[in-house]
Amino acid sequence: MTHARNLTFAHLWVAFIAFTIALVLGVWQMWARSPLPAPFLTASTYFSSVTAHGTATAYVLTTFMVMGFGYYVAETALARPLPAPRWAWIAFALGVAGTLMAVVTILTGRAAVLFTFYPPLIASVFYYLGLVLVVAASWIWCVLMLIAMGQWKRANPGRPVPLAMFATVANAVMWLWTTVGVAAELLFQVIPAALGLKAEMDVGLSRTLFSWTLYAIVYFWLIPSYIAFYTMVPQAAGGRLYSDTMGRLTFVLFLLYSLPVGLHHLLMDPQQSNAFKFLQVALTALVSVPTLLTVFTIGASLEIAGRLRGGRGLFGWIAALPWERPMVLATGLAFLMLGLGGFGGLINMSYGMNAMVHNTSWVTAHFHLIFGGTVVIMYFAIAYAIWPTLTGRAAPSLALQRLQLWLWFIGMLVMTLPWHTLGLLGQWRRVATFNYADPIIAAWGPWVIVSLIGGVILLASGLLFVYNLLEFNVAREPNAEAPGALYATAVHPPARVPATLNGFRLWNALVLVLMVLAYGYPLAQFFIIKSPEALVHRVDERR
Amino acid sequence: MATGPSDQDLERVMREVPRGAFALAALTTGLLLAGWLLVYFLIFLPRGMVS
Amino acid sequence: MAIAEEGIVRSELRWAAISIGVVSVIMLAIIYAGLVHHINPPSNIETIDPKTLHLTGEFTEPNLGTRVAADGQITSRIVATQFTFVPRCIVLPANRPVTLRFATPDVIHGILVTGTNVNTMIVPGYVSQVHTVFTRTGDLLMPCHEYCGLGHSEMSATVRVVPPGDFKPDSQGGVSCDAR
Repeated sequence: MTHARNLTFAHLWVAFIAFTIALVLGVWQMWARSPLPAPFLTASTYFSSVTAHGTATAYVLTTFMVMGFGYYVAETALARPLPAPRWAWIAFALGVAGTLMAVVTILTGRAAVLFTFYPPLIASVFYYLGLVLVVAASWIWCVLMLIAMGQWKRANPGRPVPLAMFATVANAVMWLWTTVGVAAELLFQVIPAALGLKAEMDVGLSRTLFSWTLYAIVYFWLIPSYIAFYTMVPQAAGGRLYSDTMGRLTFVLFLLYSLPVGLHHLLMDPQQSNAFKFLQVALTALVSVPTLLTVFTIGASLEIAGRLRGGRGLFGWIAALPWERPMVLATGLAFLMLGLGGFGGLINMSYGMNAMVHNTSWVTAHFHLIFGGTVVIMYFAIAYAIWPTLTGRAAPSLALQRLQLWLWFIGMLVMTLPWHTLGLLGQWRRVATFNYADPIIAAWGPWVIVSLIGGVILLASGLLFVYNLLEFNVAREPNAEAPGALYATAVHPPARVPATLNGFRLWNALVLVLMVLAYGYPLAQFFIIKSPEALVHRVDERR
Repeated sequence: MATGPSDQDLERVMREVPRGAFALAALTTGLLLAGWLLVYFLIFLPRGMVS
Repeated sequence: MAIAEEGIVRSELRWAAISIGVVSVIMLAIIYAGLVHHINPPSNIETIDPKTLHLTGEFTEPNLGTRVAADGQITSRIVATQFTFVPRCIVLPANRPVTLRFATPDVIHGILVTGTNVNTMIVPGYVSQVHTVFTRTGDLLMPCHEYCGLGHSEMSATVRVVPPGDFKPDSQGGVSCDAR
């Protein structure tokens, strides 16, 4: 490792600090919503907290984790120094500056618009500019990943790009496509409004542009976890990756089908037609396929490991797996949460069925479970796996790592399972205080308290995670393994792969076709129908 | 440095794989579908028509 | 080797086919619910000027709430605004087709009616419309479920579903919660 060590440290620590702050805010928010009286609670503090919590988890934790892990993969999987490290550090500085700008604006109460913006509510321009800097930083990262892969391919003509890097670059390409929606919304609508240049805006258009970004962004977040599934977990379990080819295909399918599906977040919106809603629901159903494939492929990879360890029969290989290894444990827990979270997601996307759950706590339950659960538990596992190679020390205590992972899993279930029930009972979202005098709402109180306990467990787990990382600094035993040893080998390592599974030219063309098909008219209609614009409502007046 | 499985061992287990993975994936996907259908018939449809 | 890469890929494709089959069952059930049970998302794409809706047209204050038209159609018109619904209580009959229509002069709102599939966003510039049939009587909660600003937590309305015999329009076809 040449440049990645410091870059990865820097990015991951920013991610994890933002994450820890978000956990504290999240617990306070749940306390506020419960029947138990919470301190410091006003509508302004609550919604500023929700904005901060969403911004920290959805924009900061994720972007910095993806970037930091990407630099690590680019050097260790390709076994060559990162190109243009100075640009990586410039990107880091931009990202940190943007984060601080956004955070200060939120904490001074001038950006209570939530991380999803909700125009025509308009915050101080510095909130949006802060996020623009974070996105700009991520774009620099994308370019560096593309350059790194290009350089490796020129130095290794005809050879397959290592899967971990292929997947990382798939993520970078997907992210460039993904950010087009929110960039257009910010550039042409929200920031001009925030600067006072426009007094009105077309809300239907801004919601549709944002929807372009809002689903694909979760694949930007989850691909590091899937990179761990495919390229690290089989190795950690002592097995082999069942199929390198299917791994490549999975990431390609994510690139194709994570983007033309954003309207499934607008199923209850009046400004889009049933025809395009249904089309995007059908495409959403297709994006579940690469995940179902992953369950099978990683299951088979683990089955190899389990049977090598003496597991027999249809399921005996499961018990035979080395569950004491944190990466293996995290994967098992991740897959359990994936099952539950995936179930919730299938309900959400089911066209008319969305009416049963839209904007209820069911939705909150779903994305905390699938992202906070499945994806973030693998972020922990990745950190634990690469920290020895970053610090040069061996892990001081695997038992504490396992405890932290179990606490995260248990806390996540205790927090989100009641939310599913509450959602079906009609509990709605983004509420600072509920009127527990109302008999319908009073019945929800005990569930809300159970959920709060789950949140507290998660906070404890998050703090233990940071402690576990810090402990490396005082660990005595040196790390014996090189970073390359983390990566799995396939059952049949490919000597060559077709160009379509080694690059993205064809897939970019297909994404363009799919996006024109799925989003062409839904966006064009706003310029044809000329819907009346709404007045801008500023939220950043000084009180 | 971790040592991988011998070719012989890999050959041996690959006679069974992916039976176990298939069983696990089929079981979990089946449960997923069953859960979805339960919600569909017991909660969603009874809540009535909307258009 | 006991299983070559082609065998591995074949097993994956077999599983992919099963996955697509499972997903297809879900899609068919969705289509069935849409066509046979008439459960579809609210998508009427009808525009309205948020700046003038309180002055002229369908959503002026005297016209809000439940009205029975001359042809018997039952429609309830509600304005969602920071941070209240106008009116805050509407009466609708059970077991009859009814239509709810919403508009907002300001920001994004949304509603659900507890225990039902009635759920829609309310977007400035558009009229939201939901046709439904209520099957159970009682006072149902209709909160604003989309963040609309600092007063969002307090924004809520009541849908009073009454037995059809108790649903008595006045001389202008209106039915309100106060007339009890």
